[in-house]
Amino acid sequence: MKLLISYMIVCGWLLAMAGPAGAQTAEELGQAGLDHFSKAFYEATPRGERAKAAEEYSLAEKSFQEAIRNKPDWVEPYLHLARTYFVQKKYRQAAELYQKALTIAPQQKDIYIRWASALEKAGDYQGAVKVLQTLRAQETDERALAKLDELIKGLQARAQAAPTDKEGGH
Amino acid sequence: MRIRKFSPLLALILWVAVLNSWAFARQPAYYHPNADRLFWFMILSDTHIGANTTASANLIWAVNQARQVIAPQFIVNTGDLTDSTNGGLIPDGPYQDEWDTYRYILESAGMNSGNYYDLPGNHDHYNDKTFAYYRANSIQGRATGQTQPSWTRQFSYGSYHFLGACTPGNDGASWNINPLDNFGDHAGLDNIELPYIQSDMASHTEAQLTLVFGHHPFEKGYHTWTDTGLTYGLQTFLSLIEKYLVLFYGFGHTHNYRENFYSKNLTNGIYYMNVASLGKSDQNQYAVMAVDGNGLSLVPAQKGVWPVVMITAPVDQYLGAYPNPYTYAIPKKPNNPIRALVFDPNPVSQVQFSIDGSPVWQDMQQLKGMPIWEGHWNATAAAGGIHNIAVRAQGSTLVKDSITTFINLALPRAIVSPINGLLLSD
Repeated sequence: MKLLISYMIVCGWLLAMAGPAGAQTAEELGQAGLDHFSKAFYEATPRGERAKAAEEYSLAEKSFQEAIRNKPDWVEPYLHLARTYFVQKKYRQAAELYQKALTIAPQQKDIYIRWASALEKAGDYQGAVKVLQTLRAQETDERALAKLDELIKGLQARAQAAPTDKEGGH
Repeated sequence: MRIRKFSPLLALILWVAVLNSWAFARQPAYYHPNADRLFWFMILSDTHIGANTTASANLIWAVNQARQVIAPQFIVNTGDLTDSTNGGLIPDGPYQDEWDTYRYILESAGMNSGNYYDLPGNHDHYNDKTFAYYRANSIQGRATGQTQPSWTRQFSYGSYHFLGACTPGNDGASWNINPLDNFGDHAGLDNIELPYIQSDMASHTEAQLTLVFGHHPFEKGYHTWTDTGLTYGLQTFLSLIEKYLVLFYGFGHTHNYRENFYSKNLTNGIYYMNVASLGKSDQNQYAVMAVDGNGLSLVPAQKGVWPVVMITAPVDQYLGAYPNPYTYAIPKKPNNPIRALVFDPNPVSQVQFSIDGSPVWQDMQQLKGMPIWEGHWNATAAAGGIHNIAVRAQGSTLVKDSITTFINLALPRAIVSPINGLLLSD
């Protein structure tokens, strides 16, 4: 009996030292999420395996969400989760995450582009224009400004032609 | 002493090098008396499926009606097969929906790995480092699992080798607005692609000609300042072009048609042909290319505009505004052949040629069952030097093509063809 108690104490101590069962770091979760995303987006989807893709996307979402909970000031899982939503046509959710990502990493200009793209796909052309105009205000390169103006002009034309919300409130 | 010891090895290396150089591709163009050394194919580029409905409609037209009329040996598509925008403004794909459409259009038209050669472009590579979507959905990707198709055409008069170089980047970067980052288009040929190109060229040295296609121009800023070009691998690529005597590089990307010649860092230089966009250009949306007696001819064409007319012999002395180094002079003879391809879904009632702007148009005859028309120019009274040849065809509309040729008075009246010693006699 004494031996059993001692064994249980030792096991308990070892578990306590190891942390919660199956716990992973944010980095490990992020990598796991990327693995699931890769299986869904680069393997299952081009092969037409939709059920498999949906399953892997779900696992990817969970991993990225957990990574965000573990390390909320790390921008990478926000971007990966946003991309995971985006490729599943969950454009509003993707846009919200890009917006959050910008509060963490405001220097990453490419996030503005992705955010605007998610808003455009969601049918929020005016929102997309505002995002690009915000980026434009920070841009100094004339050639980049020309590209931005081209995009803004295109979005404004779309806003006039089709002001409805493509995603139907999602 | 040391040199003498290794001299047999050195001799072998030199012998192999010399032997190889004899066997390498690029046989000279020659003025062939008849049309039995003539074939042609279609070049498409920048189909951008997914950009809008026009892009799909144009591809459907090209692989159905145009292909039936032109009856090419094959069709090559030099990339940006899909737009990667799914109708949006930013190429943030890949989108399986676009690839499904692309594949459906081609398979419905009977396109397969033996008659349609599609290469990836930068739009097919954004966010797709391994070209997973290209490999799973394009005609050549599905057939080979690879990104650089190679194919040949065998004729009684020789074989012709064609190779598609995978010029997009190899990092799957996202599109961005930073010009200093080439907008995320990190085009180049890496240390897997280049050895494959080398190996493929080395295994086709028996070919009369090797023609290479890719998506990008060699250098950025070719048509507009936003045009990206190869950012790595160019020097090695050019050295392979030089070593294996590649004659032609055809590419898309810029959405602009231009015939040119590229000779930077090359001893001989190559044809450098930029094809416009089938999906997005307003004009010159595709091109037809012919090989006649190893002479290359290319004509841009417009969707739905017929006939398409192209003089294939003699070969033009110019590439657009540039002198063509891979042409030939013709003799001062009474029966110099003038040969043209005329494609039209409607009957072609008349094809004629005219020399040096003369108001006298001389009839050409159609080869039975073929889109080939031939006439003979009595050049005995012509002066040596430059002459203009125009061919006009009355089909759905009246269309004219013209080329410049050169009469060399020193040429014998009978020309020996370099292949089988055929005589172009009086």
